[in-house]
Amino acid sequence: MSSDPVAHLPHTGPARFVTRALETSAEHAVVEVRVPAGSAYRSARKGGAAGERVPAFLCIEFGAQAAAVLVGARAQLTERPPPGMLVSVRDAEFARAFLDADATYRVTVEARQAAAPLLIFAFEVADGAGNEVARGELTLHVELPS
Amino acid sequence: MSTRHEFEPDAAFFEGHFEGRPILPAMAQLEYVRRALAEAAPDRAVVAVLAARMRAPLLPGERLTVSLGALGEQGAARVRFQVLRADEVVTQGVLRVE
Repeated sequence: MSSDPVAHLPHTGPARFVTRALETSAEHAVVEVRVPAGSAYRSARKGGAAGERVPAFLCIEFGAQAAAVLVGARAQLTERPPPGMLVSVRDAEFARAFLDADATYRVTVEARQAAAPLLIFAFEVADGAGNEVARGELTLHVELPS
Repeated sequence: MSTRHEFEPDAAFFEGHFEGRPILPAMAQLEYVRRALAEAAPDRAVVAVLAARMRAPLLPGERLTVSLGALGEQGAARVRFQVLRADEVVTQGVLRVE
């Protein structure tokens, strides 16, 4: 399998939001995300405005997938692992309730705590202009191959 | 506010999540919570997930029920939610809405 950490994500097709990894280290990762065309999370903007929107809480999933990239990079995986599960969220705050569905976002995750198989991460999501649109903390349940 | 809403999850949410082991994404559960809120309080929108705990996966073909309730003195600004499979709570949490 590819050494690209994004290739190890278990999410495929419309469920995959990470398009590329920009940085990875032992404790953090920065990735780029987009919502695929045809995603079930997309809906028309209100009032007949052009374009589509997605709920801002999707940033939690952006963070979870970025965390999965970090986990994969750290473990130097050679094959796709079993899917990790998002098991909890804390203090996820959004600058607005909906986001432009066609924009590209930059997601930063930092490893906070680990008590295997639970891993806690802080995440931040910024738009193309660098403005923060979301931040919070999430916990993944991850069982890596031994 | 105290409401219950039933949904049959759209098969599209299972696509790619995951190959050979489809489960309903936690975000899809939140999307149904959002839809329930939109029915109960159309002028409100989710601006924070203050806490959420996902206890069990939902599988294809399983219906879900969303239960919403306003929380204490914070009034309508904080909404407690549960996602249930029959009587089993699979996800629960607290939202801030505006």
